[in-house]
Amino acid sequence: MTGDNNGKHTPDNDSIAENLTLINEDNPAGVTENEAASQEYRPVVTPEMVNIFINEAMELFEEAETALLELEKSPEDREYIEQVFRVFHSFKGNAGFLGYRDYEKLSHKAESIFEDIRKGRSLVNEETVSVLLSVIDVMRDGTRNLKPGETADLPGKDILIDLLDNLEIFSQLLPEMTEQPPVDTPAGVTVTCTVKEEEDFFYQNGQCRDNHGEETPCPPPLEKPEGKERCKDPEHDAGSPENNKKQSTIQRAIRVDVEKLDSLLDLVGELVIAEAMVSHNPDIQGLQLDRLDKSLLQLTKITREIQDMAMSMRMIPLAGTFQKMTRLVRDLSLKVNKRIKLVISGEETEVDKTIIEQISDPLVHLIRNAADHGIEAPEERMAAGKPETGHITLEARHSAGEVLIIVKDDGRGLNRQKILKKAGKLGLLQDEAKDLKDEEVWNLIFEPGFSTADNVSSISGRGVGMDVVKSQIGKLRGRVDIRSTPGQGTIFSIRIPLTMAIIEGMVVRVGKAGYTIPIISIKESLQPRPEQITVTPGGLELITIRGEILPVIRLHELYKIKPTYKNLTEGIVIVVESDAKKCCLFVDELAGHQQIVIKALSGYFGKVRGISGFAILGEGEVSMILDITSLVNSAESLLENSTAKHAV
Amino acid sequence: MKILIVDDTTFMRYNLANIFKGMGCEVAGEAANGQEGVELYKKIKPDLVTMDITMPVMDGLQALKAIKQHDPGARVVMVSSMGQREFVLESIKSGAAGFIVKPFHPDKIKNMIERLEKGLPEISLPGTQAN
Repeated sequence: MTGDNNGKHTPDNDSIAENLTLINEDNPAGVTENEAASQEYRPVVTPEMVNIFINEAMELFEEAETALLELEKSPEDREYIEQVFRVFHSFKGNAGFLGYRDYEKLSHKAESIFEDIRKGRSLVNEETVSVLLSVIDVMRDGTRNLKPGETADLPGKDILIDLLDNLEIFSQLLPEMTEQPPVDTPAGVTVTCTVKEEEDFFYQNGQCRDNHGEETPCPPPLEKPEGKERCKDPEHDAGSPENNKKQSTIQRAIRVDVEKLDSLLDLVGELVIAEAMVSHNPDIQGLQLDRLDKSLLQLTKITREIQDMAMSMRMIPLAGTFQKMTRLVRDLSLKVNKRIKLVISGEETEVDKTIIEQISDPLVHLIRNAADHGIEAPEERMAAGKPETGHITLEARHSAGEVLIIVKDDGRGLNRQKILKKAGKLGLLQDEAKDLKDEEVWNLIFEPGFSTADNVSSISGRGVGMDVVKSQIGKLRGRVDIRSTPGQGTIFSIRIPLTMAIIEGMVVRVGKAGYTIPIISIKESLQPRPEQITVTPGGLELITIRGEILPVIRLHELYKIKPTYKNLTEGIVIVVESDAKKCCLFVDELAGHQQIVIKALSGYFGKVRGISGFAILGEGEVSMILDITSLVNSAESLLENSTAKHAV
Repeated sequence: MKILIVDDTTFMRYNLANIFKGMGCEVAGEAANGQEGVELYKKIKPDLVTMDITMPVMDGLQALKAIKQHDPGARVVMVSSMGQREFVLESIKSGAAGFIVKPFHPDKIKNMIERLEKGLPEISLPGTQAN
């Protein structure tokens, strides 16, 4: 207490305030001398602290990135401004606690830029967003590699701090220049994009502040009627629940270790099997047991519900993955100098977390391709009578036990001639290329080593081809279809089964053995008539179904089992399809379809041909799940060999 | 002593909880924003609340006021990096029992708890307790 009370002051305010003397007005962080002393203090940093810090930082950066991209679209949205401010503020606090000075400094700079913005002293523009996105990128890369006990230097931070300083200086210079023509950014600023509408930018920065940095009442709007909005009192608006509805959806959630979820699903799988073992138990077959049946029915019902619940716990909306694409398209369009807009729909669609983890890379690849090869340059679009801005649509929805993800562009479409030429060079074509259906031509781009770009650019075609997209989606048991119309664009439809661990399977019998075929691969099953069957000179049997000639694989021969039927007309032929290629599997009979819990092959088996895993059937019997893709491929090569022999 | 921690970052809640647990205090609840903080306060009636200021949904100052309105005897210590004068003043006027500026030394928390337990004047401002 200084005792300097001249009676005029209300005792509550200024006496306390003087007592505080702690806050150095020149120091916007509010760091006092006392605090400076405590900054020397380095807490004992445990690995867990660093882990929590990193995980949270990743979430915070993502939050800020999303908000910044939204601000680029609607620069005055208070909610997003508050959000970005809060993220940098929170991150600064966390980094400060661990003594990560570089991070603290950089996030403090970013925070103060947004402090100005939320106080109405400055406004968001494209440049702000670009610089701050770079700041996030750099901090994210650095944060990811932080280790306990190591110093946290942030290479390149000086450049970023310069950029942020420039943003600040520029916005402070503006009030004096209101009557002058628009100016360029100060020398030395290297930003990835330039201000789009200088007039607008000009106006935005100058109006709500006088030369002393004091807030002044907003003058009547000049060009922009919404100008008044900017002068809303941020302190007043900041915390009110109405204004923060979007953020208030904090879920009543707890964090659960992913491993626990995985083992829960394993256990549920066991439960499904055990339930089937009880209800299909041979001991009770054929008996009239009303009360037991009723209880079993109840058991079955609850088991299904638990199964659904366990699955739904692993389901995550695609929103996060899709959101990253917004950033991707933004950066791409700047890089390739095209105007591209990403339209997202169905981002609330939920899929298994395994899908989330693995779908991102293929999507990035498809979108890169669309931006680089699909969408034309603005002049070319105008010449073709299309709107200058190209659209890439990313859409997701559920359809019949699958999730359907569509990547669509309104660009120039695939070029049949170019693809065929390239495929010819690569030796992918038999001689009858002209008869190929469009669909088959498009599928050629999934062949390894295929890329139609004449010059490999830095964006797409960096050695990883579309074949990787296909194999990654294949790993998820999914498939990709392409539709393309010249001049109108290309549509990639990705279909992936919703769940990875439990599938619908058809159990088939061959002799005493039971095999399981995923229902999704089955096209039809039939008992062939003699006139449908032909045999090649090489000994391969073929069945003609509605004009299509399909090779037959006899499962009993493949797995060397004694079958009940050897004659094709006596048993059952199942037509299976993978990657638009089909073949027939010959079995004795269909034993019915059921939910199959997939058990992976143990490592010591190595890779077994034609088998993708095991299933335990209701009776406790182990059944092999057929790997349809590899079977179809081997049938294809059998067919080629036998026709080749035929030709000789 | 039963403590309620209100902070929007997991990291800060984790660190504060560790400090309190190390001192033998019971962390009775953690909230990620002001609104959750107020609701939890009513439920668990803690002896002490640590309150961040910048938080989503409802900020710390509003939460402080809401808690004081509900229970005038509540002891709420603001823990924030918003050390600006306006925030400190506003906190004190609204009935905060203390104000600790982030980043802080764990001893600061210890001193504060000791003082509150001894029933010493509750205002413990950084700067007034230097040395």
